[in-house]
Formats: sequence, C-alpha cells, structure tokens
Amino acid sequence: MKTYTILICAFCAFALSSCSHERTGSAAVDAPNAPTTIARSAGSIYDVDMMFDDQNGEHISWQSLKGKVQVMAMVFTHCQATCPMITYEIKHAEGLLQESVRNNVGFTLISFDSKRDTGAQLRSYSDAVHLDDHWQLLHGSQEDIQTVANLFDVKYKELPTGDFSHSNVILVVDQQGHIVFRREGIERNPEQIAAIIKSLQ
Amino acid sequence: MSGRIRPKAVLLFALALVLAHPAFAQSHQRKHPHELAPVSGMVCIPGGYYRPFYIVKGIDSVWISTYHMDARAVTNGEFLEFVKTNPKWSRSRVSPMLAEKGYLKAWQSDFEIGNNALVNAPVVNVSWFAARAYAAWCHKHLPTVAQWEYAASAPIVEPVRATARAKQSLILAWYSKPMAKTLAPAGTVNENAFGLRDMFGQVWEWTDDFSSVIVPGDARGTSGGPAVCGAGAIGSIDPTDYATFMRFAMRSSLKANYVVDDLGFRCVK
Amino acid sequence: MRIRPHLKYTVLAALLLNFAACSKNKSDLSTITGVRDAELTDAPLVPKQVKTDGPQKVIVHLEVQEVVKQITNGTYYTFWTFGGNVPGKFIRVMEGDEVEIHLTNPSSSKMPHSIDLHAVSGPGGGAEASYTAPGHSSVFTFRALNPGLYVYHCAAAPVGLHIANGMYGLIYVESREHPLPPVDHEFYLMQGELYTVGKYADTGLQEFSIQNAIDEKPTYVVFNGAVGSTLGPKALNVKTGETVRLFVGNGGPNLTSSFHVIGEIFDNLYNQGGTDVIHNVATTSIPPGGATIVEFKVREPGIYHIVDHAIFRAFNQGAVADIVATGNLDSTVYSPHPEKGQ
Repeated sequence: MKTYTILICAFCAFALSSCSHERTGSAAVDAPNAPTTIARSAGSIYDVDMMFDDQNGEHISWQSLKGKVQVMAMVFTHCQATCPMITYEIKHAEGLLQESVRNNVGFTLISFDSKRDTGAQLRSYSDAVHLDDHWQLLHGSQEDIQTVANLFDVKYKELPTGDFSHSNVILVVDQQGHIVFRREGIERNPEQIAAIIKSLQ
Repeated sequence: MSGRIRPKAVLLFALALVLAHPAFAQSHQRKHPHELAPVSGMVCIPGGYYRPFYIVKGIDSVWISTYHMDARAVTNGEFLEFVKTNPKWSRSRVSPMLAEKGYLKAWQSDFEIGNNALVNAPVVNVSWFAARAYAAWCHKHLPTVAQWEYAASAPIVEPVRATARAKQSLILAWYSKPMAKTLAPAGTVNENAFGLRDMFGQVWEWTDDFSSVIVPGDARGTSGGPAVCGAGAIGSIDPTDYATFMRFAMRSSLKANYVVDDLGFRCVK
Repeated sequence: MRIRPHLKYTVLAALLLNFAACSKNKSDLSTITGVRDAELTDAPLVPKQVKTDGPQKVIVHLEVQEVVKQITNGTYYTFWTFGGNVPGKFIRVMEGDEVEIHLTNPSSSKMPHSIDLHAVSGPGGGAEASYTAPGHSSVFTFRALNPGLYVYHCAAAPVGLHIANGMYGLIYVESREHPLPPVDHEFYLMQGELYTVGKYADTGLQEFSIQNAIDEKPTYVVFNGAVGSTLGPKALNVKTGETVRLFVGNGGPNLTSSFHVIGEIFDNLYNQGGTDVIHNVATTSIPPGGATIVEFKVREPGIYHIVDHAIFRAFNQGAVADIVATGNLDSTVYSPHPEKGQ
C-alpha cells in the first residue's frame, strides 16, 4: 500500500514538473543550476567524530561509513510529504545498479527525529519500504543530527507537532568522504544518481 | 502621522521600562529558585517567554530557561588558546569541510595573532564548526537563535539609554555603514539591560541552530521556500523590525563552514 | 523489486509527457551555438546591440558593492549596488540565450544579497539560487525566453530596504524576430526613491528612514541614483535630426513614475517594456519594478527635461534629467515669436 502511494506521488510530481526543463532547454540537461553541485568537496564529511545507532541496534561510528561510496539523505519516518520521495528515488537508483556495483555502495538515511525514530522504528520503516541490507538508517543525538545537517547544508526545524520542516537533499559521497554530488529539491532523477555512483567505481 | 500612537510601540516601551528597571533581575531571581551560580565573564539571563520573530503555525511563544551568556564576544586571544590546545583547529590543519579558505585569515600564522590590536577584538572568520568546537572545549554551547534574540531584546543602557525605537535605529545605522577596518576591543560597545555588551554594533554572531532559520529561499520574508517541506514561516511578528529581518537574513545565507569578515560568536552555559 | 515494472511505465509516460510538452516551445532556440561575455554598462550607457545566429551562453559577472556616494552636494548615503553605481549594470541579451549569472558579494559587505531578474521564468526569478553571504559568490543560469525590457533587483530581506538602497537595474532581452531598429543614441535611465531621516539636502551621511519608506514619503526621487546625475555637464548630448531611444526603468520601491520628456512626443513606445509598440504618447506610467522603451526624433535645438510628471518630484525632490540638443532651428516645426508678444 505504502509503495503504491509513493508511486502515485512520484507520478504526480513528474507530471507537475513536466515543463520545468523548458527553462534550461534540451541543450542543458545538466545545467549547473545552483541546487546541484558536482564538484568534489574539499575535505571529508568524516572529519568529524560522531556515533549513531542503526536500524539493527548496532552502535556505529560515523567513520565506519568510510570506504564505500555512500548515497546519503536526511529524512524522518513520520514524514508524509517529501521524505518518501527521497527514499524512493534512492531505492530506484539502487535498482539501476548492477549487483557488482551495488555491493560497493552504501545507502544511508540519517533521521532528523531523535525522539520518535528509534532503532525499532527505523527497522519497521526499513521493512515497510523493503530496504535491503545495503541500507543503513541512523539515529543519534540532536547535536550530531545538527552536525550532519550542517555538513550536508540541510536546513531543518522541529515543529510543535514533532514533525520537521526541512530542505530535501540527496548526496553522493565518495569512499574518502568527499561530497561529489549534492542535489537540493525534489527532481526524481534516479538515473543521474546511478550514473554518478558508476563513475566512482 | 507621527502623532499617532501605535499600541505595539507602547507595549515595547513598557517592556523596555520593565526590563531596564534595576529591580528586574532581582525579581526574576526570586521567581526562579533554580538560579544559576555565577560564572566568570558570563551574565545570567533570567528565563522568560520569547516570541519567535518568524511566526510558525502552532508556536506562539517559547519558554527560555535561565541561562548564562558570555558578556561579550569571544576574542582572538581566547580563541588562540583553544587553537593551541587543539591544533587540528589551526589554520593549516583545519579540514576545509569544517572551515573554508579564509579561516582566521587576519592572524599572522597558525599560532600567532601577530597584531596586538587584534588580541582583545572579537574573533571573526571562524566557521560554525570551529565556534562550536570552541564552545565544547569551554564546556559551553553556542546560543540558540531563541536564546540570542531573547538576550538581545533587552534595551540598550550604555553608553546611552535607548528605547526600542531608538535601539532599532542605532542597529540599522550600524548595519548600513560599510564594515569597520579594525574592530574595537570586545565588550566596549552598547551594553544592554542584561549586562551584555556588543550584541549590536561590532560583529554578527553565530547561533547553534542557525540552519533552522528557514527564511524563504529568496528571503523576502513572507512564505516558505519551494525547497522546504512542511510548514514554513507564515510571516513575521513585526514587519517594520528591519534590524531583526537583517539578522535572520544573514543567518539564512550562511553555511556551517563559511567564514565571514564580521561574523564572530559568544557562548552560553 | 515487485514494483519496478510499474515504475518503468510511469517514468516512460512522464518522460513522454515531458518531451511532448517541451518540444512544442521554441524548438529553434534550443541549441546553444556559442559562448560570450556580456557587455555591461553603467547608466546612461547601453551595451551595443548583439546579433547572433542562434542562442548563446552569455556570462554575466555582477559584483555587489556597498558604497558611500553623493545624493546631492554634501549629502551622502550608503548605497548598495550591483557593480558600484545606481542603477546597476545594464545587461543586454538575445531571446533564447542561456544567461549564466555570477553574483559576487565581497567580504567587505555587511549584508547577504541576491538578484531577482524579472526576465527569469522560475521561482523567485533567481533570488533563491543567488542568495549570497558576504565573502561568497553564487551562479545560476536561466533561459531568456521572453523578449522585453525587465527590471532586476536584490531580493534579500528586508527587500524594500535593499531596493531603496539602490539595488536595481535593467536587463533587455532582444527579440530575434524583431530586433530593435538602429537609432542614433541609446540611453539608460532609472528612477528611484531615497528615504532618509534627514530632510532634502541636509548635509552629511544620511540614514535610511523605515517610517518614511512605509509611509511612501521619499526625501528624494531621482534618476540614476543622484540629484543632477544627468544634468549640466552630465546631460545627454544629441544633435537635431537624430533619433533617441531611452531604456527607462523604475526601481521604486514605492512610486509609479509619470514619465515624460518636456517638449517631446514619443514616436514609438514599447508598452510596459514589452513588444507591443504604440505611437504618439507624451506621458507614460512606469510602475515600480516596471520598465519601458521610448523612441523619438529630436527636431529642435535646446534643453529637454526628462521628468516624473508628478511634477513636485521633479522640481522639489530631484526627478529631472536633461537632454541637450545642438544644431539648427527648424522653424517649420517650432518657432518662438517674442516680437509678437505683448
């Protein structure tokens, strides 16, 4: 049922966006519009020490994500709006990869919600949307969540309802932690993410 | 028109009078048995309600618990001590992910300021990551936006007592002047009723949750930006408070590894 | 995995929709044929007309400068500018060009700034993508789809203050089908208001007055950023018999201009800065954030005052600029007869 909803969401969003490409024209599919960056960041996201817990109850260090290409995003599982689209887009990108490539890639979601997104909640979310073991869903302290958000340049704010206002960002990070791709906004372009991952193999 | 009395102005003025009253701090102390023990160089800010500048549905005002705040901005001299103890925060070793090019650029080298006039001036060209690491090193924090704004809401009492209106004008005058070539020593400008100095008139200051300032992307101050999911700000509590608009605009333009010539910080506990 | 076939069709359908919708539009303008740096000019100059066979990528570098400049003799103000002057640099591109805007905000600035170009089709007109902290820069591109004359301005909060401080300029998107015909002179003028705490002509550095701005009671209404910016030695010089085109914008932030050239009739007026041409107009409205193009032939020698015909603004607040025409009198068009008067 959930996937079905996501599918509808994705389709509607596609249809809505159908003419947004007109602005850049067909000659500029990869036009460097500000929200997307492809230049490799100076420095590594792993230059910070942090600890997180994952959906399997494992206590892991931030640095343990190093060594693999990582596709990363921040979401919260109670999100009824854009987070499902982000998860779904990354999942779709994963589906576009060959088995051999997929094994070298991590898919990491970091939750905004330090209160409700416990390990168990992340586990049931992961099961509900059929995420395989290439995925890690992390929860941590508010302070570390804030640090991750700032590393990713994600804006967020907790609302009185316990939900979050947040910007939508997907990143691809290389084996050393350099951000090689960052896209802001909902674009539903899993092919682009898959292409970036392949280029890093 | 100028003769028209604005109820909001009257309220602000009344608030200013209350805050400025010498008995204010004491009466608060009586109200809050959990008064914090004095901390050197810090000022106790009695708890109270803060009304966020940007109105978000469901939030009217937030309770701010009593806290201590540095009486003035952190200086180059103080920051140097931190860098010496934590060389990974020196200019040549800092990760560019955590502080961009230009970090501590006024200093002569990694562990030398090299200019006596700078020692007691507010440290600038520090990133959010660096400011936060400094705060943690002192067992302190960066103030939240709410803590900063709440602390800044007290009227200015030194060198001249300024009403809310005059204070805004004073702040605007600073904001609209090109940047000073050299900063005055920290703690010498505009003391407010809480005893905080330099909140205005010297440098901008980092806040811990600056990235929660979801001012609409194009920062016109009316609605949530398209890149933002969920409820954005639906307006501000005072559309004529340009000084506050500017602070929020500044915050929302920053990224955590940015360093800026007139952006420093102070800590809270 | 079960859902993948569905998704494939969904994506396919959406993509087809995409192509169907987009290919109809301006397909001849879709291919970029070259790259050029935009010529940028300060008022009253206008960049030369560019004619290219196909759309090009046009690079535009704008640097914000917060500078103290004179409003009138001995009266100063801290202007925020696109490029050091008010109005900002004139940008001229052709329909279909892909414009790449580089906005630099130097480290000496106190404020974040941005640019919203009314020539952009997209949210915020570029303001979001160009929102730039001091000491930083940003880049975004847009496709100039609609020919016409457009205002651009800073959209950082509080936007009214940024505009009132001088952050506005013009961009002209030249039609490929109907490029502007040649004229002898092209000039760039922008009207704007200044709101100060001090009164008109008070000397010294003037402070911005929020209250006067909210009340829409400007201290100054000027062309090109200062009282007398285009008077005396700085007037626009032409010869009789020559044709003149004025690209006129109104930065505002509040007042609509009743734009008029005393002693001239606009032979051609590009209504609201768009592509509709109307003829024989003497006074035209230019709203804040709006622009217009007027063309006329100067037939008689003398001084032509360009004014906001809300006339107290012209004579008491500064809204006058001059065209000085030299050449021979044509008595068939205009002749004074002082001897016949009484």
